[in-house]
Amino acid sequence: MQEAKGGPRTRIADSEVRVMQEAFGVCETMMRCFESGARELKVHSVFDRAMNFSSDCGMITLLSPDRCLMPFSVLLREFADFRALSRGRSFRIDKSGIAVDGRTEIGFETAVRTDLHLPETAFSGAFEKQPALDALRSFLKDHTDRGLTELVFDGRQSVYARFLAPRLERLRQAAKESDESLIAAAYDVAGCGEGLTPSSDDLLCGYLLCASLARGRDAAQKAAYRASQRTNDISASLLRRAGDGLFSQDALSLIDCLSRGGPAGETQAAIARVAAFGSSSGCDFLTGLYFGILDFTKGKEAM
Amino acid sequence: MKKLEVRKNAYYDSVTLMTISKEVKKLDGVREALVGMGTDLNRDLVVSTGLKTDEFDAVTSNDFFIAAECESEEVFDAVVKKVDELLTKKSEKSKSDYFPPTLDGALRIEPDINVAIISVPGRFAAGVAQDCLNHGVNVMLFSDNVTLEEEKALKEYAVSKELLMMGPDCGTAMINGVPLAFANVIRHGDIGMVSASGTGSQEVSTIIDQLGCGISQMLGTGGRDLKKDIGGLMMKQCLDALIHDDETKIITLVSKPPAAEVAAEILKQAAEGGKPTVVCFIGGDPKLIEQYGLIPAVSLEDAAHKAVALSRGQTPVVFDSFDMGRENAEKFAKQETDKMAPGQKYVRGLYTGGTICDEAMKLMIGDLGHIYSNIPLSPEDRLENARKGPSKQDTFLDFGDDEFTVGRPHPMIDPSLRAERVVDEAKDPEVAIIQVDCVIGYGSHPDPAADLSDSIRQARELAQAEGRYLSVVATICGTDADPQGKAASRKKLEDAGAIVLPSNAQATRFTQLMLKNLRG
Repeated sequence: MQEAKGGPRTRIADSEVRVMQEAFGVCETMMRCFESGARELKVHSVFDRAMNFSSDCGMITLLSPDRCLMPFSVLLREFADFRALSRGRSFRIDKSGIAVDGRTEIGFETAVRTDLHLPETAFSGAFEKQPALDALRSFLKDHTDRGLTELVFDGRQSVYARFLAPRLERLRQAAKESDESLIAAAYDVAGCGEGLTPSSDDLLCGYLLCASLARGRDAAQKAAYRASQRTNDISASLLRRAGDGLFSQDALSLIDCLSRGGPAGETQAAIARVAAFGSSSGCDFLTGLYFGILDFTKGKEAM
Repeated sequence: MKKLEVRKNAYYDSVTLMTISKEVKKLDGVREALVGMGTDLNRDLVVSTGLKTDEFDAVTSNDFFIAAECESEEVFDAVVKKVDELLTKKSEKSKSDYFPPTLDGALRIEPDINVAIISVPGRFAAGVAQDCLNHGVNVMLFSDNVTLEEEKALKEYAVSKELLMMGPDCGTAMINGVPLAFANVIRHGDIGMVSASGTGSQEVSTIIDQLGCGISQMLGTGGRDLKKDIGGLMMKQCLDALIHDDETKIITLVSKPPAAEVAAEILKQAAEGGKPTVVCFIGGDPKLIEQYGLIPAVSLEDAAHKAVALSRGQTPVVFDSFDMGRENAEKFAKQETDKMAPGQKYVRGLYTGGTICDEAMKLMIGDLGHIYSNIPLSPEDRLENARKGPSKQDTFLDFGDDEFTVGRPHPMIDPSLRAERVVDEAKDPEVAIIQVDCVIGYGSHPDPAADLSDSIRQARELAQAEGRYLSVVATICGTDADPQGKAASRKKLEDAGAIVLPSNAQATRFTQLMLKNLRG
């Protein structure tokens, strides 16, 4: 077999190799932030397939082409070598792209702009509650070793599940009471678990998605923002975006599929795509979604 | 002793964190460990699990921490070393990998590239394959979840450009001596193969190697190619390539029985090609094949034996016995069943290779009547909830089927689920025999026999403790030249008490002999 050669993986802001690329997709809400002018970005964190910038409009993420579009993110058309970047390095972003030293590194001209807002009509109309719960439960049953999934089945194997189970109970109870109770209980759940985004934060994102539909954006937003104070920067950003009603493209596809009672194959594929996010993040989100549907949605009950 | 390691403002992706967490807990001398970001609740948890140290108060939510209770300083030093090793390993691995960002980029570096292996999420796969074909690059599409319509369009386009479009879900090929994806180290020779199944190709090619002959080319089509919707487009294209390949003197075709009209077209093409051709339509009707003057095979092993005979200029004869001889096999089977307790009567087949699981069931179904499975031969024999639920009477499971692979690697890469099941099945007092495969070679787990032999040992001990005798019948799909080594793998399995037969068909026949003894 031929030995692999070192080749030009697209590097961003490298002094030797500068390959400008057009982004494949961008978050529409993020783009609106730049209508009033350019913003400064600073490299916050770098990973193999993603990186985060901090900015005055929150965290902005660059994603490899194999990922799905996330809130306030830029989906690249080509893989990029994020490791070439050092933390704190400055960039500028505006509606035309991301630039460093006056040169555009990533262009937005041909990027598809996608609105990642959760539709307010989700889980209404043709939505059937029981089949949605069954589909989620059936998938999660095979993944009880991931994150907090076991909580759906009253499992308490992991130290995190044992620790969080009573807090989750309180959250679900509080959700039946008042917005204030919900906000306080969400705060008590945030920031617990293994992983970069602690499992309980991902669970909260799924749970608050349903809360925002049932109780209005305001309560869910307050709960998410308060909870975000109790976790790390990256997870806090995800929580705040969820509070603003912004979710990943895969999550929105799943919500759409469940809302219209899509065919079983499509539903399972959509669930599997969400579950594939991160190590356990996707399953934790689905766990929150499961409890959220259980606690907040009405929908037609199965015959 | 409680110890703490902190990486300030350090962000590692979740997969890395989970790996660190698992590996640290496995280290000898580590009594308890928590790994994570220093958020309030994670800190509370550290306190409540008694892992808090004085320095812990300085940990913030953006810090990565490892809190552990270890037997000694040395153990904790080993923990820190392990963490560094995992983090460094990951970054070194990333630095040495070559990732051409685009096909255009790869072709700029290597303009002569003419084959691409594509393994991307299914929804992108057709687009990437089309891009390759547009550039005149032959495709081996490892990905699945490509629609039939997409597959047909890609294959029609490939045929129009005289290119190969192997797949989707094509896991095995060997072109000009280069193994692609899951493949074994096989001698070069004059037998060309086209196959619609991964482990089917591996089983035939490794037995050909075992018998002293070799392969010129081994091409794959993907499992749906011979369905009516696709019409065998790639089987015909590959067959044509072999007919015109000077190095190929003998052709072997392997697949499940095709749609009737597709079978007729392929058999006609093979007959007109003029090269001796062995056809193994696993479980199919041999008469149809004979009508075209071609040579039918009754099993994958038989296909290999017949191809080898033809390669040596001999007359092919049916091979449906044992390398050890039928009489010896019968004696050996009796020795095994004589040790079993009353009530032990069922077989459980636990496979990582789908085609060889299917072959075993087809060879056995005539004797058993019903075999319950997640890939059943008849719809009424489907085993519901095969992954989590119990087996039923005679059950064969394909651990590579979707139900077992959602969110997990293929069992040939990660055989742990199958290993757990081997032990679970031993708890059933009615189980007499567990039949397993062990697929080695490129792409497979670095040492599947080690994992499997541990579980075989446990299973047999468990049965023995309850006064039963469990017979484990195994087959290794691979060669001695494979990285894992067939002989080394065989020794591990035999040391664990398994009976290792030279082929899947022989393993199945041996199981049949034992079942006959048990059921009369």
